[in-house]
Amino acid sequence: MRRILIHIYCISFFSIIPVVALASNDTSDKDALSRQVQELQSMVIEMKNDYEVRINEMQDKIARLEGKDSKAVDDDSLKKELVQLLDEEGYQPASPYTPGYPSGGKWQNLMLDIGIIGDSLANVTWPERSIDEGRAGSPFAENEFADRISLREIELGLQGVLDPYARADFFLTSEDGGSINVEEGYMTWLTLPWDLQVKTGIFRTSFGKMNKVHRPEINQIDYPKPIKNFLGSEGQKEPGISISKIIPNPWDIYSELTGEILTPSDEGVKGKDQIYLAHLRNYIDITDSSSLEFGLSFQTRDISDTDDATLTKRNFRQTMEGIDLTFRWDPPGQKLYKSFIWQTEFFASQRESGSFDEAGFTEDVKDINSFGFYTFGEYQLTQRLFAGARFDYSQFPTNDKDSEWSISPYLTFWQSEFTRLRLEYTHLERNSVTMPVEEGDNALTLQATFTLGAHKPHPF
Amino acid sequence: MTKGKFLQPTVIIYSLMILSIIFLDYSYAFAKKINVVTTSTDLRSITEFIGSDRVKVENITKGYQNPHIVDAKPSYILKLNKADLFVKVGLDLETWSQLLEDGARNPQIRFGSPGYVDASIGAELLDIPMTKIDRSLGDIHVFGNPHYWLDPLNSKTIAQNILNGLRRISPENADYFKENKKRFDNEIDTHLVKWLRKIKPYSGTKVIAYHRTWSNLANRFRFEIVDYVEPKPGIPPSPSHIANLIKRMKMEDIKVIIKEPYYENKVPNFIASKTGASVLTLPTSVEGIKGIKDYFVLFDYITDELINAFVEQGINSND
Repeated sequence: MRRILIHIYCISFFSIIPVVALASNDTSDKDALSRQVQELQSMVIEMKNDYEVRINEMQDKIARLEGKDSKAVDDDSLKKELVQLLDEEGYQPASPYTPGYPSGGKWQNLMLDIGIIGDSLANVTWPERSIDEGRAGSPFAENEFADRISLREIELGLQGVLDPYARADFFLTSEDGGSINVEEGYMTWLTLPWDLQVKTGIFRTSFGKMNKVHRPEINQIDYPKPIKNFLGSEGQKEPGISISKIIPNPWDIYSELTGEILTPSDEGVKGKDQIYLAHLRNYIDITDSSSLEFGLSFQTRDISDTDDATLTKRNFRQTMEGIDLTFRWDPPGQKLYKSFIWQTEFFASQRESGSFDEAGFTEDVKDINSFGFYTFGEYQLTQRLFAGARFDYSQFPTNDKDSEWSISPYLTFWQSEFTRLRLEYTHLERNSVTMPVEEGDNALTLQATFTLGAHKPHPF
Repeated sequence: MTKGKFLQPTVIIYSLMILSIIFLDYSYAFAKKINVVTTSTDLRSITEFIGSDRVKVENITKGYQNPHIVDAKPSYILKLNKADLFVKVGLDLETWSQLLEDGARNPQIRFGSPGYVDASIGAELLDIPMTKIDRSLGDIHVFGNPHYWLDPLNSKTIAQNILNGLRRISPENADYFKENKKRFDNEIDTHLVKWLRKIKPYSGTKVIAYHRTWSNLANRFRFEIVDYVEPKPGIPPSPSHIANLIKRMKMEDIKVIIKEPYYENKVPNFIASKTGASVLTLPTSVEGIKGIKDYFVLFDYITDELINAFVEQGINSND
């Protein structure tokens, strides 16, 4: 009896110990226990597979010893029949692929990708206005390509990988056959620690969504009015450094934070004042066919102004905020034929301004608060034909009393992936307190854009 | 043995069992799965066979999607950011993937790194351009036809490339993956004999195709693609080309048009209405049509549908 009790005690004791040991851990070890059970299950499955392989091998050995190599015989006859079927007439021998095979792509892959984009316009405006007419003191930019045919822009792209860690991208432009400028020229380190990427050079800043896109590649003929008025006539590009990081989050949403320090290249304000910019980009797949992108932008800078008489200098601060929203619909199985995009951006600016008195002291310091936005929608009618319309409204960072708005319906025809035609009508109304404008402007523009050479896919 | 002496070994055995559970290293069974991202569903299917329960595989393109034109969505960047292995079809089929690779911030899966697999290395290629190449040829692939996975024999090469990649990043599981690759090769041989036997009576049958997707399939299964709905790759058909195609189909008694799920039906249906031909939408990839759950089912479906179309059109078998 005593021995029976000892046996029962030992069996119980050694059965209970693991349970007690596991249960004595805190509640989070319940998950660990569940994981271990799963891992033990995987181990059992693997052991089962391993034993099956070994059993098959043993069966083969036995069959061979018995002179009946059944599985091997089956395998042999299968291979013979396969060779016979494959060798029959009608088969065209193919070439096995090895990288570096001499082909048209070899030089390009070894060195760099070269592409040229040509963007030409034919433009008529009414009421009549020539490019020589200006409006002194007017906040409104004139259309320097009005009423003529021009090769508005040629862009030469040189892009390539520098080494396993970095790449370089250069874009040189010439407007209207004039001098060559650097549109962008930067180097990017792609695989830094902590999921960082760093870019340095001259680049289009990360303020908003459309500013990063080169003009020949945007969905309309020209940048929206708020971009031209708030960021520059061709958007904002500056020399600087850009650091970006993918932000981990529990919802598994793509969230990228970018911080940039830029040296402004505005004429007359060169100095030590930098532009500090931040952009947060969030992207969500709503369904397989639709997605939403939501971005927030912020930038701040000092703008120097000097009194001509006393040479007194003062910094005025400007900050800008932006919100961008992009909705896309692209059914994956019909991407060639159907798509829709809706994009909107809001811009807000707060800018100090003031004047100098006779002694050189600043006076009449005030804040100019300005606002602008654009919104456009574009729908794909057929494989090659797209229809869209954009509405712009914009005040001015230096003048919150004047404003302009425009509406631009357009049609885009893609002859191929490399050649595009676009017809766009624009009606523009200007509201000026200082210089009243009696009637609006109208423009009808035909754009022809082509890509020669490497044509990289556009960032999404 | 007396009952007293039975107690001591019992205690020892139980103790050893407890100790082994506590101290033995089962890390290979407890190890997290290898995260693999493939560009296509076919590569996913083959990777799942080779890697089995030691891999977790996600694909970027859908089986019914045109693999040439895929948006480089930021959500794909997140997948690649976490990937241990990235498997591509290659041959410039996925020009969009460079944006994802650059944005992924994952040195492990960049070109030349252990986690980068180009599935096309060593594959038998067709349609390699031998003339001067420029865009007047349409959307040409300079390295050859990239739809090489549609030749089942090429799947052994694809599987070998995937095996090499898995072995590089998980050498402790190399033998396991190798055994699975051996089984995959045997499965392919077995199925290929079945498919070739089925379609052999119709070898030499002429068909029209929409795009130059099917060269490797036609070459392996011995039917002949004599013309295309697209006059050149990526160029939509013009009225004159459609008229010539109808004329040719009538003259040469061509009765079947094969097309991919992601191309339009209007032009093929129009041609069919004028010629009495059948329009056959065939999946180009796993999950290209509902129910095509793996690489073997893909060819089961394709061969069955081809034979059904040939029979329906009264095309005589060679038996």
